[in-house]
Amino acid sequence: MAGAESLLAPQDRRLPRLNRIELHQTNFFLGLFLAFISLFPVVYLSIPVLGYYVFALLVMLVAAIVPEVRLRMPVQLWTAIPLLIFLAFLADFVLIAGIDGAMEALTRLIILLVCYCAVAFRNRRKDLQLILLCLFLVIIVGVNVVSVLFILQIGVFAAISMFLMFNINLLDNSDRDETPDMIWEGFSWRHYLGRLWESANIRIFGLTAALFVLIMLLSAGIFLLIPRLGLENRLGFLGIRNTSSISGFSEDIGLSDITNILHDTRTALRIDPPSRDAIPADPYWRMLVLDRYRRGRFSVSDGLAFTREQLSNNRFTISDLSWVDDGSSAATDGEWLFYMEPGVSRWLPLPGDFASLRTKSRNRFYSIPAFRVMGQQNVNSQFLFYEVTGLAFMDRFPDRLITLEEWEPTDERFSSLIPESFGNGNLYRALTLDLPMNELDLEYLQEVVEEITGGRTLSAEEFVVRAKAYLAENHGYSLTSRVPRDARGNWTDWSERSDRIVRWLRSGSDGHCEYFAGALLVLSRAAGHPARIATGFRGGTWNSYENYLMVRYSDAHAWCEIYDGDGYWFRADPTPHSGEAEWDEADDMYSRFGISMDSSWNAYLDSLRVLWYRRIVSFDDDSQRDLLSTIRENFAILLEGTAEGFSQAGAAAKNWVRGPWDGSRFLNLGAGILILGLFVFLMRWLGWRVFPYLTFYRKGVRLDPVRRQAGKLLLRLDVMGGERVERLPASIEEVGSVRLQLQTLRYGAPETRKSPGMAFRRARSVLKRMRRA
Amino acid sequence: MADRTSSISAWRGPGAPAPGRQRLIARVLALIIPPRGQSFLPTATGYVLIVTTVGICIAAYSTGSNILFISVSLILSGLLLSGALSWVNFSRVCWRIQAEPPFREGEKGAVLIDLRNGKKIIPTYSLWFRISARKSRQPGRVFLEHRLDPGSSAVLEWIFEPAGRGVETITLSSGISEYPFGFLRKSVGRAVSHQVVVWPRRIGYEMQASGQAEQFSLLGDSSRRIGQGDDLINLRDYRRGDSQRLIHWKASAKAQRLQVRQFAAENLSTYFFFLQTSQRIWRDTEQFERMCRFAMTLAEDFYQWNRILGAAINDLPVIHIKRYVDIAYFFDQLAMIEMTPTDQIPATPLESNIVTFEPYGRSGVIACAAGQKIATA
Repeated sequence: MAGAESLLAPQDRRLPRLNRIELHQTNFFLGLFLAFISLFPVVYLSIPVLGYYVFALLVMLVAAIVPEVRLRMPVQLWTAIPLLIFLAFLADFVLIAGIDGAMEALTRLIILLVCYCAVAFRNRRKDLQLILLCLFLVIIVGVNVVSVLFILQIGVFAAISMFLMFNINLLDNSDRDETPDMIWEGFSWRHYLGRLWESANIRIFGLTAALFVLIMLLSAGIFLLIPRLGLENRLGFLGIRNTSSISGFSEDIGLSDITNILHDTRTALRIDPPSRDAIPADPYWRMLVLDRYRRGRFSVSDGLAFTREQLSNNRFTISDLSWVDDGSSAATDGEWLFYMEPGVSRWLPLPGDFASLRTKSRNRFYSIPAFRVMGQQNVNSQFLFYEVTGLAFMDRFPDRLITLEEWEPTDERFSSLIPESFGNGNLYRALTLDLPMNELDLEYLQEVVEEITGGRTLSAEEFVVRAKAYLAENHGYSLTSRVPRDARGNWTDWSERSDRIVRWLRSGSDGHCEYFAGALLVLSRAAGHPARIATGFRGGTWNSYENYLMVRYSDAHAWCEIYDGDGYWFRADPTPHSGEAEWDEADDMYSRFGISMDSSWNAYLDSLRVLWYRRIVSFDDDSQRDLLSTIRENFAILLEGTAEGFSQAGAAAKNWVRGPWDGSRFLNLGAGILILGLFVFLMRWLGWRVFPYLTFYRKGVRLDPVRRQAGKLLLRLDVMGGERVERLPASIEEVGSVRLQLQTLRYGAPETRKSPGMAFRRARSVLKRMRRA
Repeated sequence: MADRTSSISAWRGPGAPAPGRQRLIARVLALIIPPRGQSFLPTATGYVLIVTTVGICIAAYSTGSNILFISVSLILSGLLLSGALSWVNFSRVCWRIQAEPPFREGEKGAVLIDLRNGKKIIPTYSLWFRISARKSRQPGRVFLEHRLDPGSSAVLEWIFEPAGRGVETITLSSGISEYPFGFLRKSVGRAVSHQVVVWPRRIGYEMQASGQAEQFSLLGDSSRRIGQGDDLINLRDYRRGDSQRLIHWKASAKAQRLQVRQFAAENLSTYFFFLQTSQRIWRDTEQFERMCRFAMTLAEDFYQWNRILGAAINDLPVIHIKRYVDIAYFFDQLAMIEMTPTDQIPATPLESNIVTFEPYGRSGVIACAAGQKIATA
């Protein structure tokens, strides 16, 4: 039978350590903490996991507070739980999520598995399963959320998982095995924390902290230098698909959809301009155009689906798109970087045309040439970064001819709108005159138009000016608007119901941008001017910490685009107080409805996020080349500076040596050497007193010079033993005697020592003779 | 007499004392080209991590996602750090075997592994060794379960049960560690073998009947051994060779000459053990083994009774047994004897009171003194 046991040297017993039971307990709590860390940001995923999340957290919390309660659960239950989880996953996948939601079902499965692995009685295999599951979860959430908190999360995750693996390794380094009963029976938090406190070792903690810093630096180095082969954009990585946008910027919106987010001050879009001056006073970040109005809802005409272009790349130029280019747009110089938060919209906020647009990853994009907008296939579930050059801020957009051949209206009613004389002209203008309302509403609109125009025929621009004045005169701006119910009340058919915007116009009540834009739309169409709604953001807040523009959800806006009858759609924003931006002297900026300045604490936090986007998330092969080039340049400068410094120092030393060697020089030199000597002496003398921690590991054997010397000589005797001793048969006994003396000095009690100096001299003499042998 | 002090093997491991200071270039080269006996292989956990890293790496390159690149960087730095820490963990650590005799066939014995951490700041963790007794075919593992603080040492103990007498080779593998995270298994240092002598096991035997025993007790000469028995029987004149400790100073003063205390042991009869291993006598191996065990048991008992004077095996030099090391040396010889093809007679004549061993029946062995049977096994 064989067995093994570790016997500690006496000096080791002074340092308390956790025993194996306590290490097992620590293992459990570390695993639990790891699971908490990994689960924490799952709630930010745009998938329905809240129930699973809360359940997992509660279970883990109970297990953390009373870990011994798990002993009361039958073993069979622990065995059955993974099977139950798998069955739940299957049910979720088949009945709820389906193929499209496989990723969601998988995420829910991982949450349950993490919870199970965290609270179960774990062995090495289960510990590793837990770490892998947690890593998987952290990466899925990180990739999909792209939050700045990821770096904190992955850092803490790395630290905890390394502690856990270290602990597992310590526990594995034995042939003993403890059962759950042995580990958890009679567990007491008070005792456990007391033992942790007792065995806490500041030096080990310091070393661990230093290692953690080292690993972070190493990671940063690898991240910066890892070769970027430019192979990206070939594969999607476990992306979770968003089905709806947070902002309400979709192809079909109601009258209050945008308003719902106007109180939300979170940042939806960050824009990094080439310079502060490049941003106009009152920028409009146009996302989508809605050209169809029906019963209080704005949408994109069905027929336009046939005109949209599909693009699958990560870099476009304006020539790739069949947008009409009349050369009228004035492009700005430099690059514009846009960072759009997840879930904002599938449409890209752009103020106008551009020369080129590049996204980080290859994606499927769509362009609607009639609107001059671009969007993705799905609402971005991840942070979206795109870089634009030659960006133009436009308030007039060229009209695009849409012929009957291109157009395949799904709404047959449109066919009746097309006049006989229209022939093969621009069908689209005709469609943007559509007012699907009942006769009473149309009559009312005509009355209002009469009032606005005074019975004259006005150009589109003139009409818009008067219509805006009319609306401002009769309605105020308010985020809470009340539209009176249909007074007739007995309608049975939708077509008979009074239009919501018309009711608002009739009521004279206050409204927000959607009401004003909708009102201008219906009035323009009633006046015979083709009109459509544009949605997006307006203005923004200048972040003075990192010099970029923050566009918040509260900056969401809707306005009109009216056809001017001369081949262009011009912007008409009827919302009151939306005229020219006012110059704010204090902030040196355009204020409300333009660009305001923000240097608050929130802006500072937001700037950290931009730093994360700029430096980390957007880091690519170009950035890497720039970085390496900068490092090379700085290194060259440093090298040059150092060489110059040495050269100057050498010249100065040469001059000094060549100088006259008089008495004062000798005196100065002597004093300098003396001071240096004193300093060295003081440092050596004070070293042990001023920095007592230096002596921490030199207690016991290492501080005793006799023991140390005896140990050294013993080692040398061992090294020179063997063959050399055999060559000196006469001295074998002497060597044995010397070894015995040295062993007595090395291991014996100090009080039994007798003339160690003599023993050392004798040992050296023997060693000398052995060397010569 | 052979040197019986070499129960400690040479030091092994990176911290083992080297004859000369290793050159810097050699130390750097050792980091690149692993020295003999050193290996560095991923564990199952390590392979899982490598596969995971490759997976994340492919995803990172495919998507260009810096989140994935960060994860890859972190895992790679963890692997690098793991390698570096593993190297540091072994640095200046050395070990050796201490096999403390006696080892007896069929009885548990302890092999100690002396472990030292010569580092000044960093502790050493999670070392383990494979250890085996070749002849007994007993493999085992010994673990350093606790932290080995810098500048300190620990002793690991391995208990094993030798299967047979003779020379047993204890082999300690290179030091192995999966420190710090269990990704990589590093083996450092060459294996060290150490030979230990395993004495025959004790067996039961039967002394002769009381009448014969009395006769047997009269057969021996009076012991010339200095009295070490428990019973003080007399005072006598000092003789050359007597221990000064035995001098009775008060009696010496009265008698005007040196008087020493005489104990009962001085008058006991003593014997000389002589073993012959000729195949002429011992034809059966099992019986021969039994003789070895019987001789050892009897000699040990006689030593405890202070009734053994010396021993000899074949023509080997006679061992005069005065101290424990002498009897131990006899047991060492007894552990290693083999049957010889011919009779071998000692060069010098043996003293009287010789105890010899002869086969008895098919498997038994008897011990005889002056032609008379004194014990049977």
